Amino acid sequence: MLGKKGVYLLIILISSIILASCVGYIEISQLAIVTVTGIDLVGEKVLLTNEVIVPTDASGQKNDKGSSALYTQHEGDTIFEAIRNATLTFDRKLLYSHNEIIIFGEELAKRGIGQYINFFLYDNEPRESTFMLVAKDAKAYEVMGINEGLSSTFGMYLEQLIRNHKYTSKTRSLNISEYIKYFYQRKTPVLGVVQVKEKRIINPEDTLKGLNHRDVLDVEGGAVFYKDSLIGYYSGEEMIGFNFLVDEIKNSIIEFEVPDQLVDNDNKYAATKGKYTVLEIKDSKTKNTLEIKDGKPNLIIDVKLRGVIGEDSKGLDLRYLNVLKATEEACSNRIKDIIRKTMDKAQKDLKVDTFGIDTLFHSKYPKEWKEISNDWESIFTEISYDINVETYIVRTGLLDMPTNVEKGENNAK
Amino acid sequence: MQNEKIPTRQLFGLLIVARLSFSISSILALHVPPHNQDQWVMVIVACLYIAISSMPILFLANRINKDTVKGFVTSIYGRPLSRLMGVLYLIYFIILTIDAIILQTELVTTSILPESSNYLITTLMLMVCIYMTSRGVIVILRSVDLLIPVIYSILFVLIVLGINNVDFSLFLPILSDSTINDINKGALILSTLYNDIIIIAMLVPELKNKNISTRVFFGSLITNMIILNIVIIITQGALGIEYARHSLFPFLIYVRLINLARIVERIAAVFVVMWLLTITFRINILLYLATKILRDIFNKGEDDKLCLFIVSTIVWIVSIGITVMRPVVGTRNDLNNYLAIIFVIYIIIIPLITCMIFLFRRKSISGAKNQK
Repeated sequence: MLGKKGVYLLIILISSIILASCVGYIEISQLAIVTVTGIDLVGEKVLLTNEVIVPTDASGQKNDKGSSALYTQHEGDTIFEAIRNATLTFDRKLLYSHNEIIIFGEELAKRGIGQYINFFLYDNEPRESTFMLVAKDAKAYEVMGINEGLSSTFGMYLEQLIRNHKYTSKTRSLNISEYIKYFYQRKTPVLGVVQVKEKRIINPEDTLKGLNHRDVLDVEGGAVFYKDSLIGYYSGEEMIGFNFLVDEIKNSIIEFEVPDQLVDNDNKYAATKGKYTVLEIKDSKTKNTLEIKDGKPNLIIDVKLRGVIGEDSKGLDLRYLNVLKATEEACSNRIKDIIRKTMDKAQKDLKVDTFGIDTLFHSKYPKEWKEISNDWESIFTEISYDINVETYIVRTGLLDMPTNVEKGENNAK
Repeated sequence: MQNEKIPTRQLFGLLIVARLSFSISSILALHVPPHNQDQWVMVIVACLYIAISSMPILFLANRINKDTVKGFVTSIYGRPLSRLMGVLYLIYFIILTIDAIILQTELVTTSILPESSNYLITTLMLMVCIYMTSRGVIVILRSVDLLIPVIYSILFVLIVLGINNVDFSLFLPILSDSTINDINKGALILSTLYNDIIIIAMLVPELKNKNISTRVFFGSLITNMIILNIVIIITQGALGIEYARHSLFPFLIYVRLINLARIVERIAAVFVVMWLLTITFRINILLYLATKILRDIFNKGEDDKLCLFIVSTIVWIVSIGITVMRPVVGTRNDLNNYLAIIFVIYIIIIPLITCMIFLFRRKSISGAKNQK
């Protein structure tokens, strides 16, 4: 009755309705977009804290509550139950496809996070690229809600802090997918941390309100896991060493002291003499090699980096190659110290190999690895190591001497 | 169009596109021994087993070339037994079609349309495939010819965009954690899932150059295995050996991890569309071959639409019945055992028996043909 053309027309009409998402649509204002999830334990129950973006209307105005985000808390035996329980007290279904960060409370992290990340991998909504952090000395919800940046929400503020890791290397960013990869490869993943610190009052309005301080977030340091349980922390400086060892140094800086004899005694200081020189790293490459020496594994850490002098106030005259080379050596020695401190922390304090040296051993000595793999952590604590650092200063910035020194005729030694 | 013949290039294209649908979805090669960084070695070894297991059909395909498949089988088995053979292979192709449709439905519902009904997805996809199949094999192959550059360009771009997530150090040490037994076991299992030779054999009479089936088979086998190995290496390198094994659709996760300067991200839909093209071609050709066998059984011509309707209805009902009841990709271990048994029967045993009969009765068969 319809004819061939009629049938085709009908199919096109039905398809245009079904495939254009005109059925089962959800308006953005109907969604509760989660940007950060905090996970804690309350007894044996999971306590889930979510930052939810408050939808704005067409004119960009915020809702009655006046804030860009609000926080919801829900409990359950599992993550999924806690999320679904949210619909009992919160008027929207939580949407996790824009969740950028998962924060684990310290107590939960110490008990093991393995069972709590499965939801984020089973479900297709959360992304595998979601960052993971540990709330140092705190519950996850205690660090949430603080925003002392330019970002409009806590989530965006924290995400930006994580992405800033390349400027200092005093922390690291690790997402769920990388966590799983390193968990199976090394059993000792290192996650980023977040903690609350106090900031001095600057704004006069705060003083008028009677505030003594404001809270600010700090992501310095790293949380060390053995299997899936938190066993300790690396400090910010130790994280620089860690990042050198795992070859994840990006655009960070190294602050070091050059020997006093490198500075010309005849230097006329027009202003106060400083202590440090700073190198901004442009690129860095670490190559770790393992060899068995006298029946014991010996690690050779070769670091090569190129950088630019970013600051000096001690009075170095970098017009002379011998000064430049001596400065490079001083920088190399500083990096050696940092790496040594990190190795000491891992070997003597944490007693776990967080650098993937086991993978090196496995690759180079596969037969021997089968015999010692179960005993690796105790072998790791006894490993000897040699550190070789080659620093190349490729630029000296816009100055060849600091301005607190008056330039004489013969400044360099 | 019915008298048109297939250029070799198009058949080759069809074989590598149809196989790609498996290589970038569930990646079965990751779920067989040795279960470590040596999977790529196992894939290379599997080529040898695939070549050996395909020999009987390849031999027959080279003999069919002057005849039709129906005429060839009838000359060997006689009319009644050839019909039984037809029914057996009809069932085989229907099973393969259902397997492909289930995979299609599961990937789409898991990745981009989780809330959509399985009925709707299966029905719409099958409608597209039925339409293309109804236009005949020439149209299917021309579409392949047209879309191959698009499919492989997307695949190449996706691989390149995610390459910064790949950690190649995961692939060391090579061949130290696997035994020869493990690699051989994995290669054997993998070879039982590679049944493309049957597509070549069925399409040989339609080829322009009928003497080229051996080259097409080995050419497509090597190309497919190279692509499979690239996919295995990048997914294992990006996800890690264990996570790649845990994941049902590892390449989908690889694509989901792409994030270039926060500009190129969340492009999983691009992958799914590309993948849909590949699986659609696989379903098309399987559906076409099943229909062709049914037409041969009932002596119907290429224009007959009833056979296509019957085959499609069976495929539709069974596929929906399975997809609404239980997951298939997730429980693939058991399913692969059944598919391996089916493979041994259809790709090795029956063709081997046919080869033996052909060799014993060679003179009488050629005598009967000469009399005709």
